[in-house]
Amino acid sequence: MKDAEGNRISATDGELVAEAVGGSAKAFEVLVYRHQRRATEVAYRLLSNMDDAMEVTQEAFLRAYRKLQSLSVPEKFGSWLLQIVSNQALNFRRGRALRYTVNLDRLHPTDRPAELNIADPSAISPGAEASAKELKQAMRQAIDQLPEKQRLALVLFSIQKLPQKQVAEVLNISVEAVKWHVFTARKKLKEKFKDYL
Amino acid sequence: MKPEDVEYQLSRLLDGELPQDQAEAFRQRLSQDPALAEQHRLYQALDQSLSDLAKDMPAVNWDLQRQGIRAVLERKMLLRPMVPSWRGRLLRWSTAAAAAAAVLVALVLGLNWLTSSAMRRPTAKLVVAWAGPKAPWTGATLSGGPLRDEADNATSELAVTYSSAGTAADQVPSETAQPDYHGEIIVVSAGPIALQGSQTSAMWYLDEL
Repeated sequence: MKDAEGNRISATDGELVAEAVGGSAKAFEVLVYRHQRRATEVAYRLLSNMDDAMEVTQEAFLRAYRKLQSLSVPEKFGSWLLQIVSNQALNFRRGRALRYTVNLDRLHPTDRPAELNIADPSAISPGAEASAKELKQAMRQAIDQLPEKQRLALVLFSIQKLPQKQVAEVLNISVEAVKWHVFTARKKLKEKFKDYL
Repeated sequence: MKPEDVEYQLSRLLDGELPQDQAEAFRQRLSQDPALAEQHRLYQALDQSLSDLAKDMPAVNWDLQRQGIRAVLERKMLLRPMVPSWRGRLLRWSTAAAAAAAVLVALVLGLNWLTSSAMRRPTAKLVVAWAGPKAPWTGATLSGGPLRDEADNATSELAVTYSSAGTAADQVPSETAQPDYHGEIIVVSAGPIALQGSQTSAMWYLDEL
């Protein structure tokens, strides 16, 4: 089946990957169309900045296209792409943290932005609406501070609602390990925010 | 059972992973243990907060994102057949043979045509990467050509102008290029950059057609 633009909407990812490897730019475009949202969302959850997320997503698709021939199970294109997105995002974060640290070191302590401390829930001010917004912000920053595997597992499973099996594929770990990472991340967040939930 | 094991069970209950009999037994325990019930409530509230985070996402123009990806792939010359092994070699040989034949035909039939200076003007495609959900010239009329000095002489700078409905044409930054630029303008998007002020830095490049 094809849509109005002639895209093969009923083709499986595996079929599209095979066609793209065979030289079909259209097939790769359908793959981009099919996976761009999730890829961008995951990048955004990991970077908390849409410009950075767009850049990382674009770079991830570029890398995916370059490495398409090495994809051993073409049907797993989605998980494989998210793996690339996650790795790219983590690398981007490390680079950004380095740049930020360097810049931060140059700042006088009183010049540092107040929002740096927002991961501390006690900074949340009273007032229902303001609190909800601040709670979200604090929650995002607390997630940012989780160890990488825990953060990725939580983002993919609890926020993006991916099945545990796919999270396991993306992280290249067992389903049991995914469950444990999600649990550990939840437990930490629950402890941190128990007075605000 | 250790407290951490109990919490792990809570987590599994939340994800609907406990077998039915174990889930029933655990729910029974929840109804009799207020402290455990409070833990359950906290995990439920936390999960709700995490689900709410999924709704917080800035708007994205997915079409422009696709165009951007396509443009980058084209610019890096990646969008071409990736045919491996004998098919690739056959394709390369047949492409080379066809190209050689085309050159021969062109030489024989169009020597004068090829040497005409008018037909040797450089042709290029201008790709403007605009970082933002919506470029300011989206839907506007774009045109490109040599930047002209006060005496209306063409300079070696390339100027691109755009005008949106109801506004005067504005000029976006110029770039050194062939003075007799003739080509097509493709606009792609990549993230927010203000056109005015110190952040005026739309990225662009010329691709040979």
